[in-house]
Amino acid sequence: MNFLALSPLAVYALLATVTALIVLMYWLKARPLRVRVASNLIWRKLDQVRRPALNRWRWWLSLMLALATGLSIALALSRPQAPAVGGVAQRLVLVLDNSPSMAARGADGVSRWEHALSRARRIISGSGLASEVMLLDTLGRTDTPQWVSRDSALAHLRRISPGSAGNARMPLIPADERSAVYLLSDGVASLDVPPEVAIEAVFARADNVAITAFDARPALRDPTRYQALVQVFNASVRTLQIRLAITGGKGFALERDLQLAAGAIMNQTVDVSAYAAGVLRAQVHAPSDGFEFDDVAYAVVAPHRIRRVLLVSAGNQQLHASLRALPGVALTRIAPAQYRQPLDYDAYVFDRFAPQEPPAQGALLFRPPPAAWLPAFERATAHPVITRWDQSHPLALNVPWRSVQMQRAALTRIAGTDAQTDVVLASGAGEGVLVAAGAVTSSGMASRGMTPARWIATGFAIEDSNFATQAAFTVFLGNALGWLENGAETLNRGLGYVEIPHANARVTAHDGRVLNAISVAGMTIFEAARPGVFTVTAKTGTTQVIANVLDPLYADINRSRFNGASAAPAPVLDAARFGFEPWVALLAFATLLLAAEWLAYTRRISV
Amino acid sequence: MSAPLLSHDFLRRLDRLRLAPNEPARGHLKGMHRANRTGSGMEFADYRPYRAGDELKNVDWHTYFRLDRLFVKLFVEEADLPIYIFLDTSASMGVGSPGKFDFGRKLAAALAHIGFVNMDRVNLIAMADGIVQERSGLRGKTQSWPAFAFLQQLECGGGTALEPAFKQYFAVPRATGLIVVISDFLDPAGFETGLRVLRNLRQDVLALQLVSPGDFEPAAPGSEVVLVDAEGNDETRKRMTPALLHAYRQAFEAHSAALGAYCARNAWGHVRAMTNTNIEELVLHALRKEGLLR
Repeated sequence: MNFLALSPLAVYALLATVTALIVLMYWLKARPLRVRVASNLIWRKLDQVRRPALNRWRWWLSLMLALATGLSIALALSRPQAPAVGGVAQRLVLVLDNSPSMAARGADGVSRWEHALSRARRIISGSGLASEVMLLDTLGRTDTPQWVSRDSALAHLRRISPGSAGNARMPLIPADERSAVYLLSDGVASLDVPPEVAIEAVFARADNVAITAFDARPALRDPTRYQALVQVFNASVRTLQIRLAITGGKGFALERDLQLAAGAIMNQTVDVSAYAAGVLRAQVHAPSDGFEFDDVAYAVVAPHRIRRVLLVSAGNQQLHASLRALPGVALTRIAPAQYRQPLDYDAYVFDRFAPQEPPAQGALLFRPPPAAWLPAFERATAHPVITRWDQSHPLALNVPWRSVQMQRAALTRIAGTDAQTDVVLASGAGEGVLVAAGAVTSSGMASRGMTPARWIATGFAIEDSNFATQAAFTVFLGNALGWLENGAETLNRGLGYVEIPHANARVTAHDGRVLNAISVAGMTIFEAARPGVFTVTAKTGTTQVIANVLDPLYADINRSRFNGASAAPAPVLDAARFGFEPWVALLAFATLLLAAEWLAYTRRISV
Repeated sequence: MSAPLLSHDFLRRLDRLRLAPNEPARGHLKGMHRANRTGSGMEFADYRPYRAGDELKNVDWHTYFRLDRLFVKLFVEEADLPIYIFLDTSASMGVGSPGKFDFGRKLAAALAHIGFVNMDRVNLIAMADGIVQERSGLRGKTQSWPAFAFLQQLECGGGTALEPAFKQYFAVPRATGLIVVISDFLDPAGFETGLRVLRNLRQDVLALQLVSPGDFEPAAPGSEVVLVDAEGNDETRKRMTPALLHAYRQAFEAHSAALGAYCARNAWGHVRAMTNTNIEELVLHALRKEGLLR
């Protein structure tokens, strides 16, 4: 017999001590008072009627009851293990794969996660009553892992759920040879499973139709027209009838019925010109779709109208041509000497020129001379190398900056000195800033009560680099004009934790819900658990965050390593025959004995 | 000097009492009890014809004048009463408070004094498992103090054995009289065996059973006690439950009732005296009420 609280030797010693103590107490029991009586004649007559021989039996009965009670309590304290009663106590480590694919529902309507929970409950319930359980998950969302009782583990199971984002990893398993480790997974996430881990496969094929790309762009030929590109992926193992719905504010809605073969990807281009501006929502419907996270995607439609752009340049054909090539741009070119304020344009492009006063609208400046409202690009350097850039910045979007080479450039230092200024590109030479962006913060602009105009300044001239010869140059110009014009910054993010460079910001979802967010080191972090549009409002500005999945790998929920081959089932544990541990029964038995002793004593059966 | 057994006042009140035996006195000396023979008493009994030698003072001259024949008046003889006071001095008499032995000595002294006052022959016998001491043939009021001294020097000890004691004492011929047995009658052999000896002697017996409160309740209810027999090594361990005490009292009452029934069957007197009662009350009222004293 095993004991959980004490070693067997200690238990036997305890039992022997208790036995000796009880017997000793009976022997040392206060000696009865000796009473001298005239005669025992009457008592002897009485004994003939009342069976005095029972007295000794009463003493033994009392001793036996006390011994049984004491030994029961002592044995209960040692927490004995009786497989026939409480099962075999074990240490179980259950690793629950809570990667997003576990939320997929199979043909039976039950999700893989629910199957996993059911298996986990079976494993826990099948263990001994005194078993200890540690629950871990592959997304690391479990609180500090610790050994808990069966009941606590069963209760904790209800608080774990599959995440919608994050990298699934095999957690660290406690090095305990006595532990039995189980992984409950669908095999989709790539986990480095140690060989000693028993796998409980909960994979079941599930239909899934996903939106793997969604963006809204103006048409190249006519920037007043907007198109939405939707990529739909049928990650199921069969052909599905799919309905694609694109909706926006003010009753804008489009629908398309599609038939998609298993594993096929279909691109759809939808004209959304009728939607003036705002957030578009794309959703795919399939009758048997078992995975919801990737069914919805969001995109922002910028105001699509002709933008009037003023190019102030002494003469730069490449820049002029590239600006003219931008869709929806009505370009006017003047020489720097002709520049006068005020002018009525939607955006300004200054080539090696900078007005002393900031323009009323946003400005893109290539290698500007010093101006009071701009950072000074003074540190000239030859052949600077771009070492880092802000990949999340809209200006850097879809531009292969590594291929941009420069003969010379002027650098400035911004980082750490001006929180209002973004560092878009930085050079490796002393970490000088090559491209910066910001907003005019002069007192004059503020006094007129206008929204501060944005500016973008590069430390290199177009003639000094190969940037203008690259196709990405036009993309950069488009990004720049779009960023200069937009009031609110829009960021595209995946699901999961989103970091926004605003301190103490308030985050609201598109349905008005305020999300929990924390502010750490000048950043605001919140969780985008589902695709959506989130507005981050802070004193330093407002940022719109679009959180989408848009990942074919994410959507491919049937690429399981358990597909077609069932994993070895977990060994069947010795189930507890009764719903309590032996020590409970022992304490109950001791209570019964105490009651019997009390009854016997009050009825004068025992002494 | 030990305290006197009885107070002077009590002794004076005892002077007016005398024992009332069931049988006529058979003493050979002049006494104050009716004998079953005629003689020189004060109470007229019968006539008989005059015979030579009769005292002339007993001739009824009125009858002679009417009948012209001499008749002699006969009177009931008044004889003394042999009283045998057996006082149990066994160890059991020393147990309890107030003690049965002391109470018994006082009772014996009172009865002896009554006997002395009535010119009876009083025999004081201390017995246990045999005759311990005796003082026989005491007669007259002057014997009270020697008798009291005898009683006072007695000590209790030994076992109770009525039968050998009675047999030992009556092994020699004794005048028939009144036997007073002052005892707790807790004879291991049973009181019947002892009293059977007296019944065979055709003696008049007065059984005075002494009971102390401790005999009724030897220990407090609920206590665990070892009951040690005062007259031997016999021990018994008991838990004094209310039920057991109740059964014990019932058994004790049955024992007393059996003694009373035995005495009644033999037309003997039986009185159960609690030692916590006033002895003057017992002698002056209870015994008189029972008809044992007049």
